[in-house]
Amino acid sequence: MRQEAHNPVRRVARVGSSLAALTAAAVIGSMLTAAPASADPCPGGALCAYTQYDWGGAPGTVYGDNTNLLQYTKFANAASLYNNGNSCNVTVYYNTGYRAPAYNLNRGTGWKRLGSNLYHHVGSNRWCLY
Amino acid sequence: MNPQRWAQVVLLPVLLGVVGCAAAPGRTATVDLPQPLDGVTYFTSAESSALHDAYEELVTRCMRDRGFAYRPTPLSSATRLRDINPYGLLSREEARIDGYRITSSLAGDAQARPRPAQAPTSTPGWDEALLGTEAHRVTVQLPEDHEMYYNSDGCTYQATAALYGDDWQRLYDTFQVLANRVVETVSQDAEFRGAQSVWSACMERAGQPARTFDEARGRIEGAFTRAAENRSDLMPVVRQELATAAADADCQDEVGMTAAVRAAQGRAQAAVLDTSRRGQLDQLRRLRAEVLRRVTASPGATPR
Repeated sequence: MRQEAHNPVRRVARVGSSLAALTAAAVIGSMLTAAPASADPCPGGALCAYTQYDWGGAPGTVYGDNTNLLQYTKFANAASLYNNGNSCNVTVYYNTGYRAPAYNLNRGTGWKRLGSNLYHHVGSNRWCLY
Repeated sequence: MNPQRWAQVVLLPVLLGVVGCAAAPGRTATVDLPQPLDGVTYFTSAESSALHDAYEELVTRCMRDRGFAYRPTPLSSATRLRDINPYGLLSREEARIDGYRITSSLAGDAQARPRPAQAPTSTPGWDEALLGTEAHRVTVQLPEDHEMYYNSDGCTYQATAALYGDDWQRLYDTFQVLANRVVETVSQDAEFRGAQSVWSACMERAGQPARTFDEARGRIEGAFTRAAENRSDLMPVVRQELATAAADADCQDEVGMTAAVRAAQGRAQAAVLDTSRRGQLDQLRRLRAEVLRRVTASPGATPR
């Protein structure tokens, strides 16, 4: 996944599965960045994955629903996550295809450390399920 | 055919034929199936909807009190995916009506997915009012070496605390980790795996070969994704889903899969629940029961 932070609308089509793009699942907010306090903060409206604990390094970002996040290096190797969505909570799944185990992550919150049963394996995500 | 037209032509019969039936009141057989930790972290789609409405009302009120406009975002119609049993268990009735809930949930989502409200006046001040500030950051250590945080001054957190209780966030996050540990342990349990092998042989005889529950369900997801990508007729996918799910549920029934899961779940739960966790679990159960009583008894009656 490329890590550019230009047009989030274009990026939805790029990083989301075609199904996600089809379902117009983009959750796009402002381009304001916010916590976490990392070298590269998470853009507004995004779910961000970092390959270091405490949101270290540049994030991988998604704005829509994704049936397969493991194709993206940052999510396949995630060590911390941050939900900077300003509209919805997000549910992330260990497996692709929205298969359990599932974890709810409220907007504006994050996991500084992903533990043993999500570490290096964020397989899919859906917004606005709860 | 453009995507919108495809959605209108292809999805409408699916929605009428499948969602219409499945969404009928009382079709809640899935809640009778085993859930980790007695379902303490699980809410049905109907419960989620009621909780979401109450929560968004509180967020709106909090933002208004801080001088900001806020537009609540409706839940996705795919929220029914939450009713999928985490062990892959199916009731026979549900399987024959709604399959794995894949086509009906995702097709409905494609047709009616609410567009998340744009932040109307998203500014640093708006974001801070909604999500809170670093000065009020609370870090929580969770089982399995997870560590999470929230900002206690954000309207999102304050609405959560007002609705569910001050301890909810910490307890819920603790037990969603443990519930997932239980699910994973069950999936590795020897008795569960043995029963799944017998189920697999049954699926083979039924003409729906699959080694695991995930494989059977994944095949339908793949078929749906391909149909969606190609914007082709979804009815063959619906028929395939209903046939596969019906065979799946019949084979689960024949094998006694629900009993095997209950037994494995009991062992897995005993391993994660020490005395102190049991006390926390009781506390979470009480908070859960209380919030459900409140939002279902008098929808709209949110605490001030």
